[in-house]
Amino acid sequence: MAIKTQSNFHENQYENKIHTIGRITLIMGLILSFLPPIILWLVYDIIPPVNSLLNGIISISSVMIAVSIVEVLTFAPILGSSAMYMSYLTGNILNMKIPCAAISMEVAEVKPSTKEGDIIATIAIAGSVIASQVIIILGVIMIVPITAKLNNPIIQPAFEQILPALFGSIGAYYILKEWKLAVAPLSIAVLLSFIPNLPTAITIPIGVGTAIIAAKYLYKRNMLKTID
Amino acid sequence: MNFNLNSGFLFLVAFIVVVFVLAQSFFFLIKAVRQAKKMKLSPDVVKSTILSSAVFTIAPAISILLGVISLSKFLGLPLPWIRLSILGALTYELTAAASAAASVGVVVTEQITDPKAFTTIVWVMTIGIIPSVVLIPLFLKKIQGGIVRVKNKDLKWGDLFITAIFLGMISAFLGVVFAEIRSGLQGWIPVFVLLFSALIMMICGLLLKKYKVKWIEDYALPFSILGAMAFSIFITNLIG
Repeated sequence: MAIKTQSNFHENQYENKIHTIGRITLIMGLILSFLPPIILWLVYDIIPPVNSLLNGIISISSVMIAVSIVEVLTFAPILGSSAMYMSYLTGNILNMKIPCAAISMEVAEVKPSTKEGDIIATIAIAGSVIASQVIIILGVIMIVPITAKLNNPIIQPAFEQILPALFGSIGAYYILKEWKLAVAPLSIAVLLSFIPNLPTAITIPIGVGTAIIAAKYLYKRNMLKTID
Repeated sequence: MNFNLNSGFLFLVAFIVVVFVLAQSFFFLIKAVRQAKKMKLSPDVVKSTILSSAVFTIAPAISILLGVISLSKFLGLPLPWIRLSILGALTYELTAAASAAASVGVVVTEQITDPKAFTTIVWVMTIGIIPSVVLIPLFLKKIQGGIVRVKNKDLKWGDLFITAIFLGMISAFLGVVFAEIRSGLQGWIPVFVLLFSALIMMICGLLLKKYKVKWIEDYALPFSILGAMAFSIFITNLIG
């Protein structure tokens, strides 16, 4: 019992440290992201016209606030604390961080929102951040030859279709694992796609809500295989 | 001082941002590897996680690089580089730049020359991302506490609850892929790409389960993505 208490103490200490460093680095990141507009203001003495600035901010924020709340609630259980702080500092969460963490946990045979899952997700996201920074730095250094190659119209479709390519494979993986769980949210999502221009701030909560209700129903009736 | 889209000051900020982001990642990586040792996780698992996540990252990172390149024609190089290295996301930055440009009445297809329009776009892109960033330091600890409570109450339901959240989210995005099908055969391209990617994943799964090709597990995702990207070139040429 004493050993367990001590290990809990160390784990709590680890968690607390992660939250402290995570919060500090994220706030510092936010301050850093303000350097470009501040430089434009202080060094070049350029100030934006208030009307256009407000218009722009209102049009972006009206979408962003809802999307942000939905995303934070959805991503947190999958990624765990350290991976969340890293992902939010570097962005590109849905198109890079989530699939990377999810598959790494599957391969390592650990579950999200467990201590082992958090560790594997953290290592995966760190590996991904470092690799992507290296690729982007190399790209920026070699921008002239690379731009010509990547802008070749023949290969353009490959990059336009990266999201379907990503979600097809990751979706297939999880659907094969527990297809009964996917039937309800998938049907709702396909139906919703017939309503034009519905933002993900609406479709994600509906998809997630449907999936949770369906999961509860199937679980109560013992209709799922992986839970045993 | 004269305004310049590719100003040395902005390149300096880009450099600081990249160093800062890498420092945070190395910090969490070292902490996690140490914690993994304490928890007796196999070093091989740790190594293969780093390697496979780095390999997986190649395709999405190139698409981000393409985002930097396409925005650089409009906003110069350092700003898109900064925006896509810290707090930004490809989908957000492209839409934010376009709607900010619309609010000042410029088009995103040519290099911006008006300093006032440029600075408005920079401020809008920077302020627009704030909601998602401030939520994390304020609420993440509480959210994680709530998840732990759900899991402690019923462990099996806790696991299922997280899988359901994940499947719900994926479904919402799979739905987005069908959004353009009314525009004719071309609108089906994303659907075909998605199905092809799913097919490669299934073949990988079959090789793993039936023929015990164990190494394929680490690379199934990059294979599927790259295969589907190659397929999208073929299918676009065929029906596009």
